[in-house]
Amino acid sequence: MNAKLFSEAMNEVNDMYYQEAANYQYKKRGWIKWGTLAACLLLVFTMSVPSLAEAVFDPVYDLLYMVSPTIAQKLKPVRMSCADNGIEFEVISAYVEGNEAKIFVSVQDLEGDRIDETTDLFDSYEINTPFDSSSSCKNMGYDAETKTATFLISISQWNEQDIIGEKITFHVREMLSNKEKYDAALPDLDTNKISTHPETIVPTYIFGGGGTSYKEIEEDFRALKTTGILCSPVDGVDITAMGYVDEKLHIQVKYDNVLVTDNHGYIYFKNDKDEKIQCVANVGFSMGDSHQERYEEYVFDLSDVDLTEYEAYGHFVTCDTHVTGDWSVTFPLESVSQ
Amino acid sequence: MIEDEKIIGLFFERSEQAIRELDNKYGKIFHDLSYNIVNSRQDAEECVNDAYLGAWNAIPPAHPTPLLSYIVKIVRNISLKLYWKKEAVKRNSIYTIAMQEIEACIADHRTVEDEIEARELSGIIEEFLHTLTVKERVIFMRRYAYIDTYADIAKRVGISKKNVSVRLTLIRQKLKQYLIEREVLI
Repeated sequence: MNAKLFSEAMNEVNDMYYQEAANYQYKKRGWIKWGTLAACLLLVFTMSVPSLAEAVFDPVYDLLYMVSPTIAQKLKPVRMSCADNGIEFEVISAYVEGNEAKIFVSVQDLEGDRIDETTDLFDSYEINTPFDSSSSCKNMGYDAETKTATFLISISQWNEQDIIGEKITFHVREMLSNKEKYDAALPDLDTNKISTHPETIVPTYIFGGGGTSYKEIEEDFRALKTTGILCSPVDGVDITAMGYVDEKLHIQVKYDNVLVTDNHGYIYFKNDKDEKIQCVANVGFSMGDSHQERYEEYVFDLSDVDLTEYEAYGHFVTCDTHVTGDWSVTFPLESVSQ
Repeated sequence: MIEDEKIIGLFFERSEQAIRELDNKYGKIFHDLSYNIVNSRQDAEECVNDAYLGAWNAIPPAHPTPLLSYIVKIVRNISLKLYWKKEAVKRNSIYTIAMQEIEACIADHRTVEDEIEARELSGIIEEFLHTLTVKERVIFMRRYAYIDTYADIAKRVGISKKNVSVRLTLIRQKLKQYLIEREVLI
């Protein structure tokens, strides 16, 4: 095929595609009118949010406005973007006030389907501030047609240090998508096979843990020796051992490839009265050098419990899409810090 | 601005005002498209005038809806004929660059006899366009139908020139794969 044939074919393409391309015009949002509209919108949103919102703003802003009109009104347009690894990042708008920055970004997969409604930025985002900061990232929505997810990121510098400078660089390195949640009974886990004298080993590394008895358990912690896969409720999550250690029930779960999946969860017991027993401690550890596989032991104190009345449940969040890249957008601070 | 239906009405009345209104409303689009193909203001002027004459002869009986894409295709066709007629003359138009981009994506080893026909290919391109997002489709059409520059596309869709370039590269890769899967390319 040559360019001439392609060109002739393009001339035969249905008119609707020509019309669509002729009529499409990126609309700059009406920021100049924000001031006068803001008061009206606040009132209108308490009464009839969708109608006016749809008329004035695109769906992304509608969503943001419904979640937080206050934030939406403060945001100033940025509209600067970058692309890496086939994914485009766009800082749509932002504002800086004192020690707090709010950044509204969209992420679009230009190549495939690596972005979805479950996408998160895997805590890999940062702004170039000289002080330590705390941050949060809220997924505001996902548009399947354009394969675009939008996020509102809040960053606060510690010690109430104002965010100052002529420009901000917003940087993201990783994303996770296609997350699935499992929260159901574990029928394949046979609690009659709980070992009363399990073998134990010393883990190569303890990541940490939590729970009311964590400190007590973590001291001289010995992990159950893996006895093979007892139950695999979901891909990437295996229950690999269970047994009583020092009169406490340990259930060991292996999470595959945690450095790129962030697979995590917990186990609990529930009876037919909907009463739940949560673990008194959970300890995360590794048995190898690479720490790619993370084990977690959930420790239950069942001294006053008849376990036959309870059923084991699992709550797990898994992910099979990890995307890395170097997305960095530098935008002027002056325009957003009024 | 006057509605398309009124312009068509003027054509049906055989009023020369039809051409003036058409040129007032869409003339810049036609001239830009033609210029981006033939790379000469004078040639573009002639191509657009020829397209207006073609429209004058065709309407009536034709009653094109939508009017814009109908005339765009006439302008495009006439401009391309001139482009290929003057192929010997070294041109460096936006069209030349756009076609160099696409040639790398569609080159194959078929003989001319085995070649798919333009109409059949256009059907496959339409199917391909369906697989794109609206924004991607607009970028593709603006580049290879309207022969826009990256700068013009960037302005229209609200992204940077560099991103237009990146997106077009990805769309061409998708197109190549699409054509291979349908055995249009071997």
